[in-house]
This record gives sequence, C-alpha cells and structure tokens, in this order.
Amino acid sequence: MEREPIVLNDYGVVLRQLTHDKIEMVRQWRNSPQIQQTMFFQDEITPDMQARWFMSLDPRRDLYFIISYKNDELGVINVKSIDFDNRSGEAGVFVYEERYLATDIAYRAHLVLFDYMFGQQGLKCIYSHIRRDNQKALRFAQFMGSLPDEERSTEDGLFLTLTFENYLNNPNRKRFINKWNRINLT
Amino acid sequence: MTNLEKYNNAFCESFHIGEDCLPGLVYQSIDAWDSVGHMTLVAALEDAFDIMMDTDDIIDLSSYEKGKEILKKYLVVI
Repeated sequence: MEREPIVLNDYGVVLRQLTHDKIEMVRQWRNSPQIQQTMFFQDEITPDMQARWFMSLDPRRDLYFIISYKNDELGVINVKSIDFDNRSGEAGVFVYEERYLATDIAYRAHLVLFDYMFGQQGLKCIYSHIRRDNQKALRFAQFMGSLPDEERSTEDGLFLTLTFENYLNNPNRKRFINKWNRINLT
Repeated sequence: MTNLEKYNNAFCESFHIGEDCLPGLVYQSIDAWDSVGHMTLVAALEDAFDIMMDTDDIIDLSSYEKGKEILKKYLVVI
C-alpha cells in the first residue's frame, strides 16, 4: 500500500512531499538555467531521467517536498540519504519563483523541515554540499548555523554541517521564532 | 534621528552600501540583497521602528521605494 505523502505546515509555508504528478514541473524548474547553474550535475534532465530518479527515491530516507506559500508552488526542499544509524541526512533546496528568491520563504521552509527532521525523525546532524561558487547558498547555510567541514569538502564543493544543538541555539532562528510567536500567539 | 535617516541606515548597514546607492535600489540588484540580506534588512527595519512586519509585507519589500509605502501601514512615515 502506498504511503500518504507527508505534509508539513508551519511558519506560513506548506511543504508537501513530492508525488509523481509533480515531477515534470520539478524537472522543468530544475532544468532552468538559474537553477541548473547552482547544481553539481548540470546536464539537461530528460523526462526519462526524472522518472528513474523519482523511482529510485527511498520514501523513508529521501524526503523531497514542494514548497508552497499561499498555494503558490515555488520551489523544492529536501533531506536525502537519511542515515538512521548515524542520525544524519543531506539537505538541499532551490527556489524557482523569482518573486520569492530573495525573501525569507526559503528560510521558513528550512525551519519547517529541520524542525521535523531533528524533532520527529530524530536526526542529530544535517549536512549540505554546496558549490564553492554559490556564494548565496553558502551564506544562507551559515546564516542557518551550519559550519564548514573542510575535511569532507572537495575542490568544487564545500560540506557544511548543522548539528541539532547549533540549530536550536542559532540567534537568527531564535529571533525568527520569538517574532513568530509574538505575532501568532497574541 | 529622523525616520528617513533610520530608514536609510537600515539599508546601508544591511547591504554595506552608501546612501548614494539607495534611490532606485531594487531586490536582487546588488549581491548583498539576497535572502540573507533581505532578512537582515527586515530585522533592521523592525528594530529601527519597533514594528513587526507581516509575511506578505516581507515578501513585497522589493525596493527602497516600496519599503517606504509598506512602512506607512505600520504608521511610519518616511
């Protein structure tokens, strides 16, 4: 029996687990030049490649979500390669809709997903692997509280690690949560 | 300090730019105005004017000029 897709809803954004009917939309987003240039794999992705990729996902260990704000589907966020023994996973994100690119929507989506991963899935570490020339993504990861791990990094890409403790104690997160609670609990 | 000075300071300090760059400044027109820059700017404006901007306004804050319009909703006249 198929699992119900996971839906996470907080901080004004909704994350819906990727389903087969959305993979063509995601493929088109992923092939757009502005997204492609941020990725390690930059070849055109064909419909067949996309279908095979989707079939290869482990529904427990590779969690991909469509990010929505007020019913606008605007990007993808994921934690993949979840290792329940080491309690770790690898995060990724892209925002396709230009209107939301330089807002805090991607940040909110990270909070929703990371709350779930650390809080309900029991992870203790989420890492990311980012192209060294993607300065915006590197800045964003460090804003979240991720720390560079040069030992695991490569010439092209930097590994960054976010522990549960650093996530919880990150001052940017604390500020956001305080504000969110003040607005929504009053 | 006037509201205009506070407003300009928020932009200049968030993006590390001079006041001469502010007229016509729009979202993503400089490297510093990315999502982290945007969140830094929102925090600076909220602190400067003791307000809490709502989500739609944070998303709509797409230019130096647009910000002045948005702040009117919070009774801040620039």
